[in-house]
Amino acid sequence: MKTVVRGSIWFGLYLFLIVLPLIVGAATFVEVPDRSFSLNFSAAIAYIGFAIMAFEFALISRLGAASGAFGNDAMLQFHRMMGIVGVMLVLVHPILLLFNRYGLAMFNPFDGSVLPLIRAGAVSFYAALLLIALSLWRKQLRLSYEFWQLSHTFLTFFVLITAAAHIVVISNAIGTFERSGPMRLLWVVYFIILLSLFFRYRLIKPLQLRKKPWEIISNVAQPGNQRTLTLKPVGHPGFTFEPGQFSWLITGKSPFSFMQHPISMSSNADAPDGTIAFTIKALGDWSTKVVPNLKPGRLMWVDGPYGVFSADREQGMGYALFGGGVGITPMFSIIQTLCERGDARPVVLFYSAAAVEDLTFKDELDQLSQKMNLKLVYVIEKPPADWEGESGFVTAEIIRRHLPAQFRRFQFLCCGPGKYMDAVEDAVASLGVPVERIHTERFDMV
Amino acid sequence: MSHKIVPRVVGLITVVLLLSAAAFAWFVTTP
Repeated sequence: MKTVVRGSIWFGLYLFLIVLPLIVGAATFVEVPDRSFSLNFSAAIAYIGFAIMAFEFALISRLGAASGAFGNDAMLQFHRMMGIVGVMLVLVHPILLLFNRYGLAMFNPFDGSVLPLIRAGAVSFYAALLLIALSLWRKQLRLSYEFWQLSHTFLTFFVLITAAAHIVVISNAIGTFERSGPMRLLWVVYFIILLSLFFRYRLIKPLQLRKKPWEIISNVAQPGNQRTLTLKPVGHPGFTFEPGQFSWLITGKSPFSFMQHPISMSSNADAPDGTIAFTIKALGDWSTKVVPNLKPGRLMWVDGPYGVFSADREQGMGYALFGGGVGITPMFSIIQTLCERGDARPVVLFYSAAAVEDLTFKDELDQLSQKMNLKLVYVIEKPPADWEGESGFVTAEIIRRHLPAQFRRFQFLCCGPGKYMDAVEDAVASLGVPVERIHTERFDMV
Repeated sequence: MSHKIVPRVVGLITVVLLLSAAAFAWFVTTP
């Protein structure tokens, strides 16, 4: 309940901040007789679009208090979808102006006959389109995650600054809503909030992390084209985490590096010596080229832990865990932690992989199943001829076959690729499990 | 179930924001 209240407060605050410019505008506007409804509506949606974009950064700036209420994957999904809504609103803004004595020339920022205030708006508009296009089609465009992250940051600032210039020039030239003191104060405050969040994220946080380095003690290749990095804290006690959570691994030369990746911890959450491990699948440039060359003894930084996907937060009579491919890593952490704690509750792990050779941690899991109340269900997409276990994809029938009678009182945790999770969620829900018992963590963040 | 809830929330927010924009425009449009 506490989380629901906290979530509602954050959600209400977000909506209020987006709508506030309209409230201030309506309270302080200067009456201009010949302004049509569509012109005012066009200005209103531009304000909303601008406010949405200004607060986009707040959604992903790793504010523990806000993301703690919703979970990081939900926050990121929200950030993406609201970003699209913001750009769409900004897109409709000039289209509505076409009905109000503005010609198509306003879309051409190089046209010298167009007022500078409109040209600044056009530049901002195209930059916003580029920002969205790069995010939606990053993989198709074959942009590296690091390059995309850098371009995303700079483009966001560029869009906001050119849009702000557009508004400021308008306020001097027309000034129906923008000339009032409260409205100007509001935008200054928003700008300060944005800058503070940015400085906290890019300056204060890295400075804090710099004092807490971690040393790589091993970097081991594992089945399934994965590598496990084990780290120990240097000069600090490390941190405690809940099994299932993730951290941002910073593998650049300093904590200011853009080379930051969200990776689930794959080790026992209660390790007495503070060591933590991350298991990383070779998927992109970073994981195939940088990770294998991270030698023991090297220092790196860890920003974490984050996430609400955790067995500790979701207490039940038992756990049904679903790991698809690399999604096994948080499950492995959960299982090890429960084993180390001597937890007697039943755990059933459904582990999906393309082939038997792709099962990471298979030997370790088989050993753990001897020490605790753990049932292992390997679901192999393309099994060998002599395979006696489950094959194909996880279905409701497979799940039901391996769960005990009281399974509806279990907690269901699922991690893996998007389509895998959609299928598992639907299958589990079809068995009558209440949605509040189904928890997911999406890896495909960007 | 975030992937199903978030789109609904975003849809709801979009409707609320568009209605707010319409209400604003109606309020400030002088006859």
